[in-house]
Formats: sequence, C-alpha cells, structure tokens
Amino acid sequence: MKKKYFIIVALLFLAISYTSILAVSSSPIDESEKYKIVLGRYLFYDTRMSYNLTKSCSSCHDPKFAFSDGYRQSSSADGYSVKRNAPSLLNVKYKTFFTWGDSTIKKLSQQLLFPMFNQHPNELGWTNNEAEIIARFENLPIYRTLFGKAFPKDNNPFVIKNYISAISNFEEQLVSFNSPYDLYLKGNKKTLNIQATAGMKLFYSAQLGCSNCHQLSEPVKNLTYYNTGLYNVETDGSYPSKDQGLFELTKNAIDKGKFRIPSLRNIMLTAPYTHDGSVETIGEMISIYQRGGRLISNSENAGDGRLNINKSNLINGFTLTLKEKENLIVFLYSLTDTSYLSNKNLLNPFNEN
Amino acid sequence: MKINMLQSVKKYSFLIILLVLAGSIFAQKKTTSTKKIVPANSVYLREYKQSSFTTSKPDTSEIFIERKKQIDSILKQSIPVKYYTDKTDEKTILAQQIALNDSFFTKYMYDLKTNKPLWNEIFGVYPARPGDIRKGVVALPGSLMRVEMYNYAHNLTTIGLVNIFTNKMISVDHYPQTQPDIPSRLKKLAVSIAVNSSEVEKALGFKPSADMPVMASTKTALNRTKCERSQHLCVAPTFVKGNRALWVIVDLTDNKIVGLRWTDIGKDADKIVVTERKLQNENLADCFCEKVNTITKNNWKVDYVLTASDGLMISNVNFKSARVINSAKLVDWHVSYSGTDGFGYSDAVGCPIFSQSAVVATDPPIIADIIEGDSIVGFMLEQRFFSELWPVACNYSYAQRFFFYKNGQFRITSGSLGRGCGNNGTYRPVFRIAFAGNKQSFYEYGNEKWNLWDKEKWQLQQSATVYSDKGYQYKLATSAESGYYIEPGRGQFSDSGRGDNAYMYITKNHLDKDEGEADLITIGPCCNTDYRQGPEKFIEPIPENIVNTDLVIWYVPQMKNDNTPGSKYCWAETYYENGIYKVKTYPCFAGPMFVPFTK
Repeated sequence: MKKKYFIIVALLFLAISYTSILAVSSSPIDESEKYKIVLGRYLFYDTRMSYNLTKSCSSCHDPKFAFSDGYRQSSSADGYSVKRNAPSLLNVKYKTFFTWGDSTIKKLSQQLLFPMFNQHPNELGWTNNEAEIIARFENLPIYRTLFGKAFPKDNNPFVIKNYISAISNFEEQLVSFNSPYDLYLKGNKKTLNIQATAGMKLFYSAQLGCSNCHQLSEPVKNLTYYNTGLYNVETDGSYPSKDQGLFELTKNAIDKGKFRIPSLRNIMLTAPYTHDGSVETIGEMISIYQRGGRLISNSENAGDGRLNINKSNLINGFTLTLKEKENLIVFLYSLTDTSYLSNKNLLNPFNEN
Repeated sequence: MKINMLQSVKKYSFLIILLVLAGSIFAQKKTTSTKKIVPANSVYLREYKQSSFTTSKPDTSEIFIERKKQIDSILKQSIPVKYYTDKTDEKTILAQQIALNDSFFTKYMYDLKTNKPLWNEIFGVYPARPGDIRKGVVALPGSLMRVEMYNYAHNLTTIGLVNIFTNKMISVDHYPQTQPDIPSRLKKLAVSIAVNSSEVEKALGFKPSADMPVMASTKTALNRTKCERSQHLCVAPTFVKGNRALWVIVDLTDNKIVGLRWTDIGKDADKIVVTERKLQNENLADCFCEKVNTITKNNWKVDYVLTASDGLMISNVNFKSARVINSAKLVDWHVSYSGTDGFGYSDAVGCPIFSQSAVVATDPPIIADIIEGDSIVGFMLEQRFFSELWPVACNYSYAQRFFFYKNGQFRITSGSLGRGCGNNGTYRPVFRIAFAGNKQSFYEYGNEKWNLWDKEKWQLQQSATVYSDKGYQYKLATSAESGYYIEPGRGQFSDSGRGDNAYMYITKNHLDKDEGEADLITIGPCCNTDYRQGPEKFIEPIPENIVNTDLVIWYVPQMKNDNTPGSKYCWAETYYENGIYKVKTYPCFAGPMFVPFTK
C-alpha cells in the first residue's frame, strides 16, 4: 500500500513538474519574443535612435516606399548623403546577404551595426554617443516597460545588443508575398491581365534572361554579387572610385563593380534603382540591360559599361519592341504588394492616435 | 520492481493525463492572464506628437511670454483678432474695419458650439489685383482691397474683398486647411525663436544671428509633429553651413521649434554670385501686376497679368477669334526634401509688391519667337522668378513658359532653374487650367480607345501609362466636334525636361463658389508624396459628374533634382571664369502640350 501511494505521489510530482516546465518554457520566452517585436517596432520608428533626434530607421526605410526611401542615396542624421541606396526591407529575413557590397554580412544583427555606428558620414550617429542615446530610452516609461518585458532576464536591459536584437526581430516581421503575381501563382489567374502575362513570359524568356538573376517564385535566398555594366570609368572594370562594390572587401580586381542583385519585389515602389540610385526609372533600367550596359558620356564617370571587363556574362543585351517593354513593365507592376500597409503592427506606432 | 512500476503507471495513466492536462491549462491560463502586448502608451504618444523638443517645463523665453500675453489680451477683446500692422496707412486700417464688420468674414472667429474666442490674425491687406475681381464686379480704380485673415484654431484662411470707397464687403471666401502668406512680423518671430534656441546653437556649433537664416517666411511641414501636412502654421528658417543646410521647423501656432533637419546642399553652395539682375519692382508693378496686358500674334490673342502669388496668369486666350482658355496659372510650387520626414517648402511665385511671396518676378515677361529649323512656328511668353540671392543655396528660381504655335497647338510649362536647399528635392508645380466652354468632357487613353471620365478624379502618369500612337494620354472634348489632345512630357520636348510624371486632376468648375479661380493662397502642404497636392480638395469626398460640363484641369508634374555629375537636373552651380563666378543651370521644365482636333 505504501508503495502504491509512493508511486502515485511520484507520478503527481512528475506531472506537476512537467506542467511547471511547460509554463516556464513556453510562456515567458514566447512573451519576451513578442515584446521584442513590439519594442523593435517602437525603436524602428523613433527619431531618438539618432544622436541629434533627426532620424530613425524608418527615415531610410519608410513603409510607403516598401521600406526604402525614394532617394538616390539616403540622407544621414547630419544631412550628408550616405554611400548607397537604401534597399527595401520587405522579406529581409529571407536574404542571404545583407548589404550591397559586403558578402560577409549574413545576419541582420551584423547589418544593423552599420547604420548605428557608421561614421563619415554618421548615419544614426551612435559612435561616441551611446550613453546619451541609451539614457533617452531609460527615462521613458514605455521603454522601461518594453525593455523589461522583452529582456526579462537582464538586470539592465538597456544595452546595445538588445536594441539590435529588438529591431532585428521587428524587421523579420516585414514579409510580403501577396502581390498579384503571388496570387497568380496560387491559382488566381485573373490577377494578371494579358499585358502582364505577356510581360511575365518575357521575364522568364531566355531572350531576356531576367530570371537568371532575379528569382521571384519563392523567398529568395541565393542572390549573389554581379557587375552589371553600369560603369566603366578606367576601362579596367572600375566603377567610380567612391564605390567599387565587393572589391572594397576582397581587393580582388575581378570584384570591381560587383554588387548584390536586388529583389524585384515591389520594384515599382523602390525607385531610384541600383546601388547608387543612379537609375531614375524602371524604363531606364530596362534600357540599360537592353543595351548590355550603360553608356555615360560627358561626365567624370564617362565610359561604356557594356565593355566593362568584369561584367557578368549574363548581361548581353537584347532586342525589345516598345510594346514588349510596356508589357514587361506591366508585369513588374504585378510584383507590387502593399497588403503590409494594412497591418498596423508593422506601421509607425507614433501615428496611432 | 520495474514491471511493477510500469503496471502502476498503466493503472494510473488516466489520472496522470488528467493532471497533465489540468496543469497545461493552468499554465496556459497563467500565460494569457499576463498577456498584454500593446502597452498603455497614450500619454507617451501625445508627448511624441508634441515633438522631441517639447519639455514638460513651461516655456519661459521672453519671446514666448510676450506672444502669449498678446494672444491672451486679444482673446479678451470683443473681436478676437490681431490686426495687420506691417502697414498703418488709412486704407489698410479701413479695409480691415470693413472686413471685420462683416458677419460672414468673422463667422469662424468664435467656436461655433462653445462660443469661445479663437485666435485670429490678419496676415495681409493688399490692393486687389485684376485676378481677385470676379466677373460682374464694378468698382472705381483703387477702391478694392484684399484682406487675408488666418484662424489658428481651425487652420483656416478667410479672404475678403472690400470696397473702401463704399465701405462695403464685396466677397468673402473661407479656405479650410490653407494658410496665407505670412506677414513680416511673424517671419521675425520665427527667426527669433530659431536663433535663440539652444538646440539650434548646439547643432550649428555657434549662436546664429538674426540675419543668417533664409526662407523664414516660406511655409513648411514635418511629419510626426503638429506641422505634419501643414495642420499648424509652420515655417523653416534655414541656416546654410558649408555644404549643408539646417532646417529649423518652427510651429507658429504653438510658437516653438518642433524639429531640426539637415540637408546636403552640394558643393560650392555658399559662393556668392553678383548677377546683373536688377529689381524693378515699381516698374513691374505698374506695368504687369496692376495692368492686364495683351499679345496679339500668329492668330492668337492672349491677356496676361502677374498675380500676387499664382505666377503669371494668362486669360481670355483666343485662337482665330475662338475662345480657347479662360485662364491658366501656376498656383504653387511644392518642394519636398524628404518623402519620409515630410519637410520642404510651399513656394508661391508672384508680384514683388503685392505679397510676401518668397520667389518674385524681378524682370518683365519676355515674348520671343519659337523657331524650328529655319521657320518661326509660334511664340513664347516667359516669366522668371528669383529669390534674392539665387543661386546661393536655399534660394530658388523658377520660370513659366507658355508656347503658342501657329497651328493652334499650345503648351503650358514651368520649370525650376535649380539650386534650392538640398540635393534630394522633388519639385511639384501646381497648374490650374480652365478651358472655355461649358460642354466639356474628358477622356483617358487605354485599351486602344478613348475612355470617358464620368466623375471628378485624378490619375498619375507613370511607367506603365499607355499612350496613343502619337503620345497622347488624355483628350478634352470642348464640344461635340472638337477639342484638344493632351500630351504629357516624356522627355520629348527638347527643353531638358525628362518627363512630367504628373498627377492630372479634373474638377467641375463652379460659378457660384471659388475653387481656385481667384488668386489662391498656398493650396496644399509642401511635402505630400502622393496625390494630395491640393486639388483633391475639390474632388473629395463626393466626386461630381463631369460629363458635358465646365471643367478645370489641375496638372502637377513631379521633378526630382539631381546634383550627380553627368545627370544634373533642377540644379544650378557656380563656376569660375575669367576672374569672376558665373552661373550654370540645369533646368527641369514640365508641362503638357495641347493639340487641337476636329472630327
């Protein structure tokens, strides 16, 4: 009898322990992850993130431009232009490479260090201002609550890595796969009209070869670095000296002018195009590929990009009628998905009331 | 023992499952009971709206206290309005008195529900210009004055036209969500707030003086503050420092700074160029602001006059004795330097003496032949406008050009001659074009045919826009047999324009209410990046039927400036030659061509 009760007590103990473990392991961790996202959203839109209160992440990654900003190069907290064009953050969680010219940055948390700590120019201007910026948040009740709940185990959650962690968590929520093209793939054939369908065929045709570099059908993971013949300033494959792309990392001459291939999703919202924003319209971009590289005359960047020795052998030029070009553009429009704009959890919390 | 244990487990397994389930539910319930993801943040959000510069302490600056005393005192008066005091002549005083005696002019001075006094200020009193005077109004020369009043509480402008000889009010119009040109005393106040700010001193690295800022009288906006979409009256005294400009966004409704922003203004921004341009204010005023002039040439007859703030307006335009256009003018220039932060300027262009327009005409209009090959194919009417120190950074220059061709075509354009206050600017001129006749219908090309617009609406010209074989996007039928095709700029006009990328709005013209026919104050905020440039006010909320009626075309092109070598656009720079500095401009012109058709 004693043995029997012992077993019951032991089983009861086990059961209670198990449920306690469940409570501990699921609840606080899930909650803190959710709070990290909420906190990340607040930080993402808060100009307190810049040393002089002028810029937030959203200054360069605005929802209405598919989380890019419409500039050739973004403006820093001090007003100076930063080096490169701000890419869209939609679907950033699926990316393999996180910057235009550095293939070693493979995590969002690594990438975030650039806007926070870059100098020459300052972007958000955290360098040498860390304490002042952090103190701004420590003093606000909302952030005391959010940091506390997002990082419950930290005695002092107001540390740089937590800012990065929260913003990364928020940015991973920026997912967009609900364009007319996506709906078409899911079986709703009416979402693409005749023009868009004709454009899609061109996009996937061997003649144009757009899809060799720009993959659309699934979350894109393996975009790589190519020289697309935008410049040829020294006839040795060089791009303008202020930005040589992957070469600046590798110092290997064949990497001059190599930049990450961007996603085309929401392309109609993310003009201007290319790493330096030097292509104003999608029509101009197509014309450059049509020619097999860009010709620049009468400028300090003069040169024929078509003859760039580092240019990818996938960029060979093609012929396209005006009508075909129109169709291709109509198809590119069908890659636009603004459904994320109706998800208020992704939008600016400071505009809510 | 092991077997016994297993048997016992089996025996009590049901009990165990129940316990585990109960525990899970308990654990889940515990989780949800603490689950409140959205924090109570309303207080914080309100603070944020007040901007990061707001402190919980009351503002004790002399400027603020003095202004507050003044407001308090005026709110206790029977008519809660601050008079216009920049000029103190009899006419100016009398015009205000007549206006303030009119119950419709003063309708919104008190809260309509609570009857509490609201803060009103007369911003300007000017002699009425030809453009202010509606058809049918007869008055002796010099008898009509225009009184512009701003209501801070409602963000509302009231414009009254008074006859100071008969002491009568001629007309009154209320314009919600609009702001008149600001008087010089408010400009001084904005400058004073800016130069005395510790934030500005910290940002610049020195205490600025009152003569340093530019553009202090030009209205601006800033997202996530009360200046967003110009809900408050806000201006931006701007300080040029090296190759950058510091924008101090001053809220003149709350009398405080709501934000600072830096912009990159490019190289050589501070080189001063002494131009040969001469201010000819009096001559201009006498000949082109107060007097309607007429050109008769190439079968065209065109009246033109310089308005106070709507640029050069053409009117009563006839071709071969048939009326084509009632009037066409340039209502505003919206210059945005940030699509995300939403700041920039709403520039008005106009006469130098009748308004506070920041960018004014300094020389008379020019009339020149249009030559193609060896032939004269028509003539052009051009008016230029300059900020005083252009092309120094944060100064502006614009031009309007009207082209009239012998074959009946005409084109209405405007362009920026560059510089401005940043290298990430987007220029949006707002044109208003009213064709003659009241049997008009509007069509858009698509699916290889002309499609009728039956209601007021707007449309954007963009990359996927489809044009007819000849490049026409729209068609305006002015009668059953004839009309005009409308060809937007796509870089085809050889005037350096790279394409209009324009918003087109069609609204119904009303004879019984003013929707922009009179000289318009700033029609919309500077910095919206979408269709909300002002004309949508005449469409929303319920678009009217526009078939076979009297229409107004609003055309808003969008040009992005560029200071990149090789592709400079809407830009100007100085260069050194033969011992002096000269100016090179990279203008950006935009505007549609109108091509006549008959069936």
